Amino acid sequence: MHGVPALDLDLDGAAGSEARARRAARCFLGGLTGSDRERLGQQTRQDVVLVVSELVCNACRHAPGRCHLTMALADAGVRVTVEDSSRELLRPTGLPGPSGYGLFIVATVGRMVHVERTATGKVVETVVGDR
Amino acid sequence: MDIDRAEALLTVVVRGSGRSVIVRPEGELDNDTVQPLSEALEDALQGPPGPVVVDCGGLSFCDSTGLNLLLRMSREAESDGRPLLLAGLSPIVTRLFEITGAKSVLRIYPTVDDALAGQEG
Repeated sequence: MHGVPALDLDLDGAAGSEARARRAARCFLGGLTGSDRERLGQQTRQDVVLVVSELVCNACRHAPGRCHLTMALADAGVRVTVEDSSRELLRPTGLPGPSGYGLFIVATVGRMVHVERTATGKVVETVVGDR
Repeated sequence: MDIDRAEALLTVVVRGSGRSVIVRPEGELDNDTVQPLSEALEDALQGPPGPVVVDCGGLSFCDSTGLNLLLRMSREAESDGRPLLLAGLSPIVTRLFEITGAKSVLRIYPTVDDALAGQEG
């Protein structure tokens, strides 16, 4: 799978992490070329930035310390993965939860949301593509 | 990181127009930048009665934190019997309101002038 455009970003979890993640996401999307660029519509790009922001926001709010953002081009769009230090799972219920609309947005815009516990925390992954 | 944090800043400009207060956030609205808008809206809702218009024309991004604030303030305003109106939504904010269904709950006008006119008419 070498050559697939991807992004790896370590975030300290402090104020400004969300903005930094969005900037990196826009930079990633803006750096796509050729057919990679053409197959992502304007709305998908906006949705990707929104999903990145929401996932990083959740990580910063609910897990202490650093988190890690990965983005990669996938067949169905852009795969967005955020790893954080909390093993507590937030469930994408399909309804706005008590803490708000964050995961609801991710579950609505993303093709699927996959949440998995790891030895040190959890990984939340989704794929955002044209709908 | 200093540059990142500077970019994350949200500024809020508040002005009056007749009985109305117009609150205009500029920049990117998220969990880290929501405070100044939250304070400006609370101040506006505690001020003299009259419509409060949120001019969203300067919002280049809004996340669920910003949406939650707008929904909460809208409910507070309604319970006080005063309208909270949104105007000048960019496509990215409109999209957020569509995804979440907030579009059907919030009172949205194309422009600030439309919002103000709607209140007088």
